Amino acid sequence: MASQPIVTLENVTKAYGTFTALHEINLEIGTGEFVTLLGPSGCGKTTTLRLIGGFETADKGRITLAGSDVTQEPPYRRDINTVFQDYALFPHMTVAENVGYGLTVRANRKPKEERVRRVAEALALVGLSDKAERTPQQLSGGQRQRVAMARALVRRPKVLLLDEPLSALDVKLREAMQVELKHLHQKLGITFLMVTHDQEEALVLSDRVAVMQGGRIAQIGPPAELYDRPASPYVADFIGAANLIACTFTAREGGLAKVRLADGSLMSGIEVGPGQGLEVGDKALIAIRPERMQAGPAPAGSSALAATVVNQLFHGGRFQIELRLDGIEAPIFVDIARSSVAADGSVPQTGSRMDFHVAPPDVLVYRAEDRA
Amino acid sequence: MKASTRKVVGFWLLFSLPLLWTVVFLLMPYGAMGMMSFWARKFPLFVPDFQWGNYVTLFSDPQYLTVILRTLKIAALVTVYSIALGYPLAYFLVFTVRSEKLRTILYMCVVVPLWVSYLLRAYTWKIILGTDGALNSALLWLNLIDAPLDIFLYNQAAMVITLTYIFIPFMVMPIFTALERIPPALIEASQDLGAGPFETFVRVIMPLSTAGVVAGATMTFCLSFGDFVAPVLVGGPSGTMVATVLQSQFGAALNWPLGSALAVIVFTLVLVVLQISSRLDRAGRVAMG
Repeated sequence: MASQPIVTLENVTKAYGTFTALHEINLEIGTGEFVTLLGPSGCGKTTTLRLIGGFETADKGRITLAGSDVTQEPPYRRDINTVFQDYALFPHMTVAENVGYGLTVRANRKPKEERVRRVAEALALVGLSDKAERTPQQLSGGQRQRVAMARALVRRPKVLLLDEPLSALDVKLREAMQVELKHLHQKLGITFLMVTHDQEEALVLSDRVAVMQGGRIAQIGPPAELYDRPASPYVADFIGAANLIACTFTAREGGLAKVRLADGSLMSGIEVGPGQGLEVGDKALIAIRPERMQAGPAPAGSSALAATVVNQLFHGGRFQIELRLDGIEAPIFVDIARSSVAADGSVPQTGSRMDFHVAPPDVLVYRAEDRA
Repeated sequence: MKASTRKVVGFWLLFSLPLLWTVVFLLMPYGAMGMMSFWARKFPLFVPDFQWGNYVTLFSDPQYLTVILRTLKIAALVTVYSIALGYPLAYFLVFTVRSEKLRTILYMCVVVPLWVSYLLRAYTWKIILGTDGALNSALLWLNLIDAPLDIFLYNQAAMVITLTYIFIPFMVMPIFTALERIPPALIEASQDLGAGPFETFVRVIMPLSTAGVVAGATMTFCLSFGDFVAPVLVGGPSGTMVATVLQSQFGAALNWPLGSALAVIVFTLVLVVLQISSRLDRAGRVAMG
């Protein structure tokens, strides 16, 4: 991490009754970074956010903000603001009163002129200057989301927490708001920490993504790294789509592995680290992105596979072909660009055999027992 | 049968009985009450008339005005005490009690007395506050007094205590509901923006529970204002309320026209209270969205 950490979590543990939501989490967030906690519900991402916001207290461990220990501080004594999932706008106040709330509280009461100016600035920032006197009930979902942003940003916090900020919006609006969120982050230079279960949102917005699994951080890194080098089948499956195919680890040649699939086909030249604990003869799992599979006969160096076409799914710009390898239950998906289909004029028909191939660097290998 | 005919028949089958009920037992009695309030009394009978004499008597004879004002005062006191006791209780149940089960049990404890006869609950206070009642026994046992005191019963304080006890569930229920409807995220948002617990209470929780307080206050006030049992059981001579006077006009005093006029005034006052409350309530509802 290039910059000074603004938030650190050291061995933070949190349990609810017998359920341990977080197991000794360690996390450092750099000043100005945009970090996303990604995972399915129950993975501990929201608990982590709530601990940083001060809405829950850690059972064990330490949380620091800008160098000082805030583990036991209540939310109103932390220089952090939150955009809540359902926005949590005060229904008995106008938009301007909502945004100005954080500047009128006793601990941080600003003079009237400053308040008015900063509220106007915050509303201008999110493009809602003309809605100041409305009530939240008179706004659309997207507008409420902006008010929630303005209300949190008006206090100029060191860290902005975003709890599934876009999940309540429809797809088109969500995509537009993603772009705005990214602009806002670049413009303000405030540290953003977001929680989401939407992997695309995480990839698009973040400098770094922490994928969480069962109360632990499964992997943290820049989006491209997570996408290209997922540390486990779980991460591979959660970030983007991945074909996970069972196989046997048959040989190791230098740093490269050779595996055999259930249909008898061999794949070689797969990179395997010494720390992965794979021995010859072990059950293994390979992961391949659908878009890295190419239709047609294999060029030199690539591994060739042949499978039966089960289905064709039209996605607009591309076709997704569902395939079944002999002897393997799980379906395999291959993406084919529409332009390439148009070139030779036909989509592979259901029931027909299809040849495809993968370049060795696009294949990842894991121990079979690491499967989530 | 034509569709329109069927509609008409269906309408009357469904609504004739409730409509008849409303007319016979609500509208006609109100009409009779209003009409009779203008009648004159010619002992031992009442004669139909249209004159304002009954109203003039009510407003000129200080005896009646005193009772009306006293009733208003007692109803207001009962309302204020019910809020003072009921609000913290509802707040405690919603925000302090963490366990859902315990909260339900405690809430039921508040509500269950409503299923016990109202008369019985009022009578209980006569036993507690009486000369040989529980309070005196306790004080005697503690050696705080030498002889039983008769100052607890048959006064306005006894009435306010009894009525507050009886009507407090009507205050707790709507406040409880209002507080329970406040999304916890709003409280967290307020704290997130720098407001401590007390400021959050004043600026977020209180405004959002106003509708519950208004509903509770309306019920408590109107019920105490028209109460008849408490003044008879624990009120004594200084605790006479409007309902007692009303009853005597139709009974011992045998002056139905005057009683009707008094009933019209009580009715009007209650309507005014309901009107005020519905205005406040509307404001509260706008706030809640």
